[in-house]
Amino acid sequence: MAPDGRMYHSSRKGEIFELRQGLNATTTKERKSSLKRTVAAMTLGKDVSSLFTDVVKNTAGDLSMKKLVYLYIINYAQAKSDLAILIVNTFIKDAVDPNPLIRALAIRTMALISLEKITEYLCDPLHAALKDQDPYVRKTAAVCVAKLYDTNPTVTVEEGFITELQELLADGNPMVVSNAVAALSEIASASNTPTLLSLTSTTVPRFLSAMSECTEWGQIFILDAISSYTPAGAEEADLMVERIIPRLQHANAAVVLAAVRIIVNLMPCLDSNQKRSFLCKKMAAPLITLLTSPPELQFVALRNIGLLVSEYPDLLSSNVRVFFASYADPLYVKTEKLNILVRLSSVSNSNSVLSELMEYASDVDVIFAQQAISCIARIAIRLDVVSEKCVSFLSELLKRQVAHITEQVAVVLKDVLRAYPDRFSEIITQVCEASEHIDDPVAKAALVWIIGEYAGHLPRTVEMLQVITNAIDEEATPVQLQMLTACVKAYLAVGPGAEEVCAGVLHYATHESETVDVRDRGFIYQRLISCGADAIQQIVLSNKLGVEDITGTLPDELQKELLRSLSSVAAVYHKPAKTFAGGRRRGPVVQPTGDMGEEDLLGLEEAADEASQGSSFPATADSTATSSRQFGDSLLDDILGGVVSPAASAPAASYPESNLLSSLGMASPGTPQAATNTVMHTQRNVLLPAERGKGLLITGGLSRDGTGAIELDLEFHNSSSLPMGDFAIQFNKNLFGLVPDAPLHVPSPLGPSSSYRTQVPLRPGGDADASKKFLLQIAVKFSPGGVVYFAEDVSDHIAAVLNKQGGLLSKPDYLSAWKSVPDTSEVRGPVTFSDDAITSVGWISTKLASSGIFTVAKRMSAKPPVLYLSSVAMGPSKIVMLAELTLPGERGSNVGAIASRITSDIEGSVSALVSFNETCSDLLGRPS
Amino acid sequence: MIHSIFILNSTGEVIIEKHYRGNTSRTESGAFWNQTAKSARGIPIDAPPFLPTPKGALIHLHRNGLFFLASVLTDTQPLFVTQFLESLADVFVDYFGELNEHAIKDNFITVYELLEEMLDNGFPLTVEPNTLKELITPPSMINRVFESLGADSAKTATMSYASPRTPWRRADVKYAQNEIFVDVIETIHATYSATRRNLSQLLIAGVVKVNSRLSGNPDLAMRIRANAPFDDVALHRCVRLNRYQESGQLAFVPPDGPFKLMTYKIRETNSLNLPIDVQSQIKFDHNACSGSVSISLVPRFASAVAPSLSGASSVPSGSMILSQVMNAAGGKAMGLSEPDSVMDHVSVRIPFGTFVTGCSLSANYGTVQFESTTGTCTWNVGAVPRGKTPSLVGQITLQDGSAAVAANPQILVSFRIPGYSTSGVFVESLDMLPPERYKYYKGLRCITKAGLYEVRT
Repeated sequence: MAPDGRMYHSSRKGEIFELRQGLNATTTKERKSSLKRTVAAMTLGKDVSSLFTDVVKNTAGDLSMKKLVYLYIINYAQAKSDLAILIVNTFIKDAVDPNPLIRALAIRTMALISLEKITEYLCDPLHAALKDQDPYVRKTAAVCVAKLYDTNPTVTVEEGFITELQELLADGNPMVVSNAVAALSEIASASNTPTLLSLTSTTVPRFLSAMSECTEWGQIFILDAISSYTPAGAEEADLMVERIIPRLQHANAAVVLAAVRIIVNLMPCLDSNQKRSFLCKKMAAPLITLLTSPPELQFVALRNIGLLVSEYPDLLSSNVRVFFASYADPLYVKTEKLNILVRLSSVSNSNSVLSELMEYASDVDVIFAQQAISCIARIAIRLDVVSEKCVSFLSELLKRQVAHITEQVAVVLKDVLRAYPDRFSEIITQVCEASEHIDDPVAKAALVWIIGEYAGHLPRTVEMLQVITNAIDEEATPVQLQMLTACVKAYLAVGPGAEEVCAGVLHYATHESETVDVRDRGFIYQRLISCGADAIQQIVLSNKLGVEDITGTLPDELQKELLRSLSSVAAVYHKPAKTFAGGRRRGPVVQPTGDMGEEDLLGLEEAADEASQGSSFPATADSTATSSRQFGDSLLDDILGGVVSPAASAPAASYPESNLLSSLGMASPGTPQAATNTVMHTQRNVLLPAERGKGLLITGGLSRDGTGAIELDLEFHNSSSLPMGDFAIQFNKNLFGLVPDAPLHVPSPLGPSSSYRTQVPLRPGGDADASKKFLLQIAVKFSPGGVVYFAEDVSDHIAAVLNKQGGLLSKPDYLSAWKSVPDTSEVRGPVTFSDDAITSVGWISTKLASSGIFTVAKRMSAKPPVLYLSSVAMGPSKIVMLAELTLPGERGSNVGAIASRITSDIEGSVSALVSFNETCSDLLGRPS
Repeated sequence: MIHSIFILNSTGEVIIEKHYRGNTSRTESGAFWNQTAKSARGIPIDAPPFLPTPKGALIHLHRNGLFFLASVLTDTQPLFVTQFLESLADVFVDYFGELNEHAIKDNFITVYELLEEMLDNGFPLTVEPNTLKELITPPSMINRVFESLGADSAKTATMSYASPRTPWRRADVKYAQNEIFVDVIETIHATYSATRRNLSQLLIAGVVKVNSRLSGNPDLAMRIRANAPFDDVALHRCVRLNRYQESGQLAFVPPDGPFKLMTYKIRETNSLNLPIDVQSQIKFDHNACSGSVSISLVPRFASAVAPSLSGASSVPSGSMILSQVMNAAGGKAMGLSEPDSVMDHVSVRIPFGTFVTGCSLSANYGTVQFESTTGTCTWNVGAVPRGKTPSLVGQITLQDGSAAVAANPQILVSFRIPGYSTSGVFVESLDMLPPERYKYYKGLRCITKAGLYEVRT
């Protein structure tokens, strides 16, 4: 009767021995308790794999013992694969047990053991289970197919499990249907074949009607699966909506949100606005209900609601009160609520929203109070009409004389003043008077900025600046920078009176400060001043750009995409799914961190780990983001007084830009060096046989000369008995926009049996047309034959059309391009490396760059090292080729590998890649 | 789809881990702990329930000092994950009677069995508590006795659904005494300002819980009403939606055992009164570094419209016994709520903030505690006799020089009023439709609880 918890603490010597004895004991009771202890030890991470044979003996026990044994087997089957095969018989026996629970358990456990030996034996019982008379077994089997696909896709397809799974979609039991849907959609997404689960005007209604009888989880799967279906017309959309509306009343929040997602996506298909507003009303109540759920659920709901209200502002505008924060909400929920409150704020509800925010401003929680204060300012910036009221609230807050409140008011007031430069002079005086309460550097910098900006209007600017700048050396850098700016502005506004304080600060900056930024800015101002009053006035006191409240607003396209994937992880992150989700090779975006020599680009997890942790989730930082961002802007604005015109900034910089860049050694690593003097030779293949060419035989092909110009190398051979003459050439529109750069020059007459070889220079710049695929269609006119046509397949000479300049992709572009191509269309090949290439990675980059293949990043730490290459084809189609070049792995070997992808699905892309790989191999295999 | 589930205790130790897809290493949970430790204030509870990882996301739920952590590697619906963790926690409570580290450790075998049964390959399999109990026997005393005697567990689980139309109900239910209990639990969430008499938020969240112990395949019809219209209703899946939408009648074949029949929200609050009025005066004397506090809880539910059950008279069926269960705490049964209902489990929390260093407060009911690390004062009032007004008066001391930051705290009140419904909700009728015909006992009761009941001073 001892509780199982005791087992967590047993760690006596000889434990394994004791357990083994227990497992082989004669009484069931003893065996069972030993089994429990074994599993307990296993969960604690102790190695009890040596008991495998002893544990397996106990499979004959009752259901709960069976479960324990199976739990054990799943854990250790991999390590003891030779022994695991011993239990197959038990599984097979259990799979025909009269008890459906045991049948299902056997199938499940077998599918969980990802050993090929076991998989062999799984197929027959699984076929049987998929047709079992008990729905419990059938629904378990459906999921097993997905599991099997995970470990062994070929067997799954060959054995016809997928077809059997599709048959289950018509099963009479809704739970079986929903599991089949779930399993199929998983296989579909894993194999990238969305057609597996066919969504048509006949199947979707069937799923929908099965859904109403499913469990809540089944409903989620079905809703999820059909969310990608677009109905053919308004009528069908109506029917779908009708079926889905009842789901909004479900107690399970996930069902509600999944239903909302489909309805939102169906909205554009509906034919009347009346229906749309009806649906909005229908959705509002359940969405609000989500806000009474536990904080974790609320958070997810709020992130989604944030997306919804920016698309459908009217959806919840009359329910603004439900977003009022409660004391018990965790900060992350409060932050989201505040963001939505600001977004929903309108002239009509501003009264209640603002007075609520005022309540928060005096909250005991300082972070929350400050967030609330910045929300007041954001509302002021959003709604011109109520800005006055917001400012009066801010002024009321200043009167409380509480340090953290005053500081935050100063910070946010700066933004309000930037939005409305000519209003609210009273509060400026007020905040200046409160300066003694302000210590925080950000707040102080904001205050000093305000003083400088309104230097001309404040009564005692100079004295104030004197007091404040008195201890300039003790201030933080941002404050010092603002002091410099403020003093210069004061000098311009007040005139000689401020000269002293201005000179003092400039002297500090240029002579005493050890901070580079402060010194630089000091020098800039000093030089500006020496340029004369007009110039500096123009620059420093010019008009500033207005500010807008952009917190939480997403780019249009992202917003649309997220709305489509509402209720998914992507929607909570407010990031597109492809940047984080996925299995192999789909790692998170590595944030480009300057020019690192070695960088992991593609889902090589170790390095990505840190990067993504760095890109932290914006939940709590969200609302402070505006202020700091705007603050950064204002700093930038200020250094040269606002909109920086290139003309104004050029004289200020002491050296010409190009020098500056080169002196810093910032030439990008991939820029092509002087093109090496190699001509890419092309095989001489027959372009136009004489039979088709009316006696004219043309051989040759595309090539590139030493300077990198593309040319069409053609050899004309007159195999007729008549002389030929008046040659002319014309190109059809092609993918790369190639046109002849000079007329064809063939001396006429070209006598019988004589040949002439010529090069036609080509240039990209003509009209492009993708319909001809990679073919370059050429027409040659001559007399007496007339016009003959032939074609050159560019995909075989892809190296000839690579852009030698613009082929270097940035790392993020590279990543997104790489991910946009499915793994399946990757072309792999071997690469032979010359001795030069093996010894110097730099040589590889240079060599490839000379042919228009650029190195985006290197990953030298990997064994073997990997290079990431990119190139872009000429012409407006901008076809991009990407490759992952793996250097030879072992010492002494000179064969590496290349895997390349192309961002085009035009027919012939594969042969283009093959040719691309060959080009690389060719380039690297030849010594310099 | 869920890839792995971890259960962590309040110090971040992994007590349970279960992998459904491959093996997510324990470093994930370690990463979770480090991340949360780094979060806003180092309080794990304050960490957003969502943490991005290099491969996907970690989603967690915090319950009773335990962290339920799920790792997902594909773009799943996070609500589905959170909701699943919720039901997992609920099932544990259901099975072990309580949810804490001890309960999990003492019953870890059952926990693993449950994890195995509830989630298959990352997909929820059997989550319905009643069905689960069929498959996995809860660790009751009886079962332990059986076990220690070496006998097979009480029964071998088999499954049989009544019919494919009602998969939530098992077949062949038989009771010697047929009975059904309906509990209406209303949670009132309110935020209002004591000084400005300004109600900023009021929401009533109700749950209708039913415990059905009826034989056969009973088909029930129930009508439930309140003084204010229900704003948002979520129904158990046994309820026929069409019927509800047409006539407002809840028609259902109940699952056997306890289940949540319906949840509702009421926001239309003009006609409602707050059951307890908190009158407070908190004043700071900045010069003397002290303050005075006076708080009293005035029960107002006496004046609320007494809800009534349109009792036996309106229910024509002669075959049933209408009865009302009296609440153990002495409250009146629903429908007979009188103005002098009693409230119990009353407690008041005043989080002053750290600038308050001490207090000398006295109350006419209950005890007062002060925790100086957080500057929180807790007043455990307990049960309040009818007609009485508990009040708290006294002085607080402030930290030196903290006068500038002193802000009025919120007062958080929690209470329970058995036999009272704020919205005046009542069950109008509850009938059993043919073909089942037998006598059964109906128990109806109602209770109002404080949810987030906070008063700004």
